[in-house]
Amino acid sequence: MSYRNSPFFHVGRASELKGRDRALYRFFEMVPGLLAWGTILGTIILSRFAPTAAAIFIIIFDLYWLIKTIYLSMHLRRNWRRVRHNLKLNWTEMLSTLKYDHIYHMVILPFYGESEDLLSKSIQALIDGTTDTKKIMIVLAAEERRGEEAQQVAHHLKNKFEHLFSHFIITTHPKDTPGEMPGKGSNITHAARDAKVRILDAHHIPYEDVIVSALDSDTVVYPQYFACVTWHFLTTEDRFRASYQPIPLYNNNMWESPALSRVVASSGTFWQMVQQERPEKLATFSSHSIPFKTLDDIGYWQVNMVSEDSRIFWNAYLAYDSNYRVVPISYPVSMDANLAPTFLETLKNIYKQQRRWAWGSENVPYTLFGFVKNKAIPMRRKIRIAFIQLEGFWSLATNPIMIFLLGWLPLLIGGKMFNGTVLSYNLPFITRNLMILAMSGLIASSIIFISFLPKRPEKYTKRRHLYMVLQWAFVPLTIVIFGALPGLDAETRLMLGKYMGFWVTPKFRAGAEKDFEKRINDDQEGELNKQ
Amino acid sequence: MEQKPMSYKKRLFFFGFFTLLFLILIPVVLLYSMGYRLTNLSLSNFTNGFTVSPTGGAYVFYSKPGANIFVDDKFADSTTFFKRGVFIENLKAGSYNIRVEYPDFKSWHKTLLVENQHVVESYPFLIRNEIATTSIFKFNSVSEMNDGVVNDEYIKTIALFTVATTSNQNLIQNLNQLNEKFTTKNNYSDTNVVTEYATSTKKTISSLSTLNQNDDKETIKVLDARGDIQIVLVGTTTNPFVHPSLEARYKGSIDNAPLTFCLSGNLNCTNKITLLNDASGLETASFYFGRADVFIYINKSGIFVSEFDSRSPRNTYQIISNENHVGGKALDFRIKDGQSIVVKDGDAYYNALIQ
Repeated sequence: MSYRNSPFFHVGRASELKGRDRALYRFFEMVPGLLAWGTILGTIILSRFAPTAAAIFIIIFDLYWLIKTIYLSMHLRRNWRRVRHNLKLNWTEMLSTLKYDHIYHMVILPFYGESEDLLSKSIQALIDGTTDTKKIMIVLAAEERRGEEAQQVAHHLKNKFEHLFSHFIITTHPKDTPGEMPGKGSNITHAARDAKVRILDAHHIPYEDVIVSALDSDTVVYPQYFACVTWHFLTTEDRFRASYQPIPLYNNNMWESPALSRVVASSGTFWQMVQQERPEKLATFSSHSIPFKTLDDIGYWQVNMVSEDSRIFWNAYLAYDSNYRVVPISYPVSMDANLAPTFLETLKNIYKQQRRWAWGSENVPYTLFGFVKNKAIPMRRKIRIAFIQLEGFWSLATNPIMIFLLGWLPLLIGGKMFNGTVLSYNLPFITRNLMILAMSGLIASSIIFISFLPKRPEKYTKRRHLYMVLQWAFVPLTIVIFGALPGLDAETRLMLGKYMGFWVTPKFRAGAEKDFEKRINDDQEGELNKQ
Repeated sequence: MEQKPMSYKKRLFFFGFFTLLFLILIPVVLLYSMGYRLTNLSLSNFTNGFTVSPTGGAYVFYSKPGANIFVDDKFADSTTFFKRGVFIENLKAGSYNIRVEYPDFKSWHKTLLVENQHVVESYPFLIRNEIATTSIFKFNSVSEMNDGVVNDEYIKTIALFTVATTSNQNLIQNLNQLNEKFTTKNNYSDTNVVTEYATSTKKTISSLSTLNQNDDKETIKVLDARGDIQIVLVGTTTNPFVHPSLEARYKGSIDNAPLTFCLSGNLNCTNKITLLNDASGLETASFYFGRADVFIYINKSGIFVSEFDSRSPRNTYQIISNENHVGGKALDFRIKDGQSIVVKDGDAYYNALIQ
């Protein structure tokens, strides 16, 4: 029996299983948290009772971090060159050498309470981002729980843009569907299924000819995005065994966002850029594209969990016995960086968004469990993927804490005997110097960041450009507070079985304060983020 | 044409290279961190190879920036605004003469025993070449003398030396009596001012009252600011056959004992060290302000400041000599406001600036 027909294929959490399967899945849920806490507590205990061993471990760890930083920076720079190259290419012209007229793009735009203006800009970017809008079908995915207001917004947009696209439908995801978690996954799955019937089946469009792009509502595609996706789709060997991943930039409101938000958002971009150079470690993230045939084959996005954007990749990976991959297209799409009317709200939103992303650790038990059950996947691949997954989430939750907080711990609690050793005197110097060396890579980061910035709005002076460089001094702070802590938070919740629900990141752009306040008030009624 | 990601083969090469670099750097950095250094590494010896030998270090902390530190008469490093503690590395095991120099101050010496992979610490105490004194006159000017207006600082200084208790009420009474005796510009009803003075005199006053009892019991002197170190006079000052001694005692856990209570490398710590083997004639003693490892005392020869640190040499400085003091009466001192010394020399009073 194929794994996609097994009862485990769309499992969301341990409680959905029974007996030994449940216990095994539950154990796998605990693994990321156990590794993270084991490392942190182990370092603390070691610092107290065996400070010399702790200091040696910390120095080796610092070295590991430095080498890793250099190694990843190399990939980042390489991808930067590739993205800039790809932005200069004329993808439409490149397509002219291929037969591509039969390809359609189904763009699913799920929204909850986003403003008409925001959605309108996203749709307008779709028009600007293609030479033939008649090859694009828009699926505007509303939520029933959002009520009449969402319907009005959707219909206004349909009336405004319908004539420009091949199809423009509004889908409404019913509320309180049993077995579903309210969130993006359940909405876009409903939308895709609805679109299949209302557009593809109704107009006899072959599934093989449709590429689905599940975009976040704030996604603004760059010009030629669809041509770029189409080109990659048509030139990829075994094209239905791949997802197509752009690079998420957060340029929509970058000039308006505070420095901390910019740094956190850009760090996410840089990580995706690094991963684009290591395709075998790449999973789908946020806005991405997938062949409709494949999507239909694997049963669409999971409706019972949060991280549907990356889970869809792991679904396909297990369904096709590991013969599935992500094609990095190294072409950007732009989204909103976190921004709220007040600085404090912005910080809260950044933390919550990072925690939601770190909740991607729920894919760890899914894949590990899948590896146990799916015997068709070669053991070597299982081990490699398991290591990549575990190392990734372990690094996220522990590395910044180890580097910036625990590096000095043996000096503080190691006792007088240790404090009288040369090692204890050298520990802070070695840690500091290795950290400075690693941080020097931030100069490259700031150059890359500046190169992707949209044109400075006239209302901002040149001084703001300077801030865009100086902001990188916040990195030691942001990777602890908005990297490690939400990571640890998410992994701890998973370890304890305190499952998270979907939290919709509020979208706010300068000048839309009233809309935002209304949205926040409505959200409090909806309480989407609580189970 | 589209650019492809770096090939897997190329990435594998880089991965291998960085892994190898990591594995090579681990022992190098670890050995360096633990004090191992290359020795015999010179052009002439290079063909004969080199050895890796353990070293130790010395840590010297001095609170003022601009002090120069010498090891065996060779300049090693200086303190700066951001670096008050200087870590001198690469010292082979053995004895080293550490000297600290600061402009217009007497140089400080100490012989330190360095052990491999360990750091020996020291906290130098330096005093001025010339002790700067400022007299506290009864009157600020001739005209005020003619008017009978007594200097405010003079009144407060007298109060410092005449009050024998820490009670605020007694201090207020004392100041009021002085106020009645002299014509002053101030009144001393402000309790805050009085409390401040009472607090600053507390330690010295209590030490005076207990030390003069001359009994055979241990006489508890004073506690340091944290309350875990005592200066104690042991023995009688009246028995001609047994000399009293002055000791410092650490009241906390031996594991946390300060450096001065430990003989070498933070090991072999004790909770009691002798400050003065012969404390005959000791009149009073106190911690030097801001330091728990330096004490100030008076004996028949004058006023002295000395270190707890018994490693050779124990630096002791005479700051006021008893030989030439005015009026033939005994010297006395008080610590004022927790940051300066006021000396009473007969009927004269003056501030002594020693640091």
